[in-house]
Amino acid sequence: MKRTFVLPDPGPQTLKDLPPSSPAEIRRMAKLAGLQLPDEIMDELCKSYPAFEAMVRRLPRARGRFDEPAHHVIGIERIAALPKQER
Amino acid sequence: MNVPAPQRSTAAVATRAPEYATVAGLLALYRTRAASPVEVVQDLLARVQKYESSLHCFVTLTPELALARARVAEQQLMHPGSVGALTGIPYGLKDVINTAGVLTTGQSKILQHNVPQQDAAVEARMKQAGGVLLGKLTTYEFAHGGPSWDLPWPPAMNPWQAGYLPGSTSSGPGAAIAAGLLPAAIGTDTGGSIRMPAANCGIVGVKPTYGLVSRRGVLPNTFTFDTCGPMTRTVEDAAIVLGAIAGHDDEDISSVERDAVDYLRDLALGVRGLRIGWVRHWYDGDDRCDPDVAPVVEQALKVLEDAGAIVEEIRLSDLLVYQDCKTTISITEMFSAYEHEFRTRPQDFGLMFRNKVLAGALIRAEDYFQALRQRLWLARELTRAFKEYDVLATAGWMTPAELARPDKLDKFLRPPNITTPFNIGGQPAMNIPCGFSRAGLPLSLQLATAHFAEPLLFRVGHAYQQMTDWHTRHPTEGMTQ
Repeated sequence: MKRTFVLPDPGPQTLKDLPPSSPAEIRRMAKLAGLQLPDEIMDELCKSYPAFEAMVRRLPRARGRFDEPAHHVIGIERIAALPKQER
Repeated sequence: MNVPAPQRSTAAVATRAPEYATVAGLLALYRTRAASPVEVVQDLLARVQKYESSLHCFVTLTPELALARARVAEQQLMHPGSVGALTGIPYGLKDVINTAGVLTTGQSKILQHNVPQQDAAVEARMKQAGGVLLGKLTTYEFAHGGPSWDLPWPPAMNPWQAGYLPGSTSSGPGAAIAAGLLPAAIGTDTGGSIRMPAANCGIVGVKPTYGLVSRRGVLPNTFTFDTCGPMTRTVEDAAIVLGAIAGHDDEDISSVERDAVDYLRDLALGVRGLRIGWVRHWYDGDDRCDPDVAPVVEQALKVLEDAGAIVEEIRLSDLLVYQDCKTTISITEMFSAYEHEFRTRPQDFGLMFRNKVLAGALIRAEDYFQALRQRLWLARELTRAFKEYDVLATAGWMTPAELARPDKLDKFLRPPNITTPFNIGGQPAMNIPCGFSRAGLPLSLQLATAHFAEPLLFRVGHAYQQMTDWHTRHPTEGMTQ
């Protein structure tokens, strides 16, 4: 029998049943994000965004409260040791 | 295992030709003065001139710089005390790696004329080790959007067959090494960008443990996934190059402090008794996987099993689960890295990059954080697997090289990458050639180990290469002048 390492489902709840955003909604979200895009590039965004929206909506949403995110903490001693950085 | 015979390519030619000398081979020739760095560089430059118009491996060729460095190397070789780990070894850098005084474009109009003042840390280390930079190699725009035909530089092409792509963003390095234009290169890997072109070009590509090689001075793709690593023809060469570029860097916040390691130390230990977890369900049975892949990977594992490894099939989360997590994180971080340009000159990005990154502007903070939480969850899954298995093995890529299709630019999300899980977990992973498709295109085996267990990764890969000859085969059909 195959050995499995899949951890228990972190929570079945996702947003995948929400209806996809319409082009008008995508344009509104882009406006709220402060994007001022030429019409042609806005059309590209309206075409590409649904694939990414579906992806994001498949992420689990009902995790345990104490499930930490990766990479959000860097030890303060590492930050303190950082040399001056040029832009 | 019931294993069908591996496919043999009719196009592949096994050769020991000088243009295909390995890093280890060149170092040995230099030691005995049987070859000179200047002559090697001159030969390679002549070969680049011959094939560059069809392969497009280089964004910038640096012949004067290369010859100057080769002359210095030649002098150093006269005085053994001053010889570095890579003295006289020609190499290339993916063009997202800053080079002081040498154009670094990120293959983007945004940085078309960018000449950095400082070397990236990885280039500084290659230089310090005595390497000879031949030039900056083709990538996808900012190591992400591509292949693109609407940028000032054409995408690299695969030397194994005319009209085929080398695969993913370290495409110039992959094509150049396969074509015998370079023995080594440094690529970057965020979701598989070293390993995919290694798979599609029939070479070795290593994504080291996240934080082992400094990212300072490398144009960002995704801060929390980006790694630099070696691309070579043999596992031994990859170990030599990693030894030169690994090490702590105070100026890279992700850089880890570890004692120096001799990555060659375990090469000869073989695989007897090692436990290999075979992640077959990631590719076998997936209708997006080319039918030639599964039997070739199975045959490769049979070779390791016959040499004494214990191979057991295991199950991890599906690739789509890894991919959703990785891509949500990536497009958010990447949009933040290039937000100013997206707001001020979005038309200057190529269509592929815009299509793959602009959506990052609409990802909400809570979406990004849910993806980060999912990342730690998946990383734990991999860590558990590595507590019971020394090595995980799977296909290097789901398909052989793909045909270039300039008319088909509407793919926003690829099928799940089989390389991505080890970016999620941060473990080292390596692709090595393990056969050919029926059409004569290279196929690859992917191996991964626990964090910082690169010596073990090299040990298994080297053992495999000692028992097979796939890495000694070189392309002919795509090598048009």
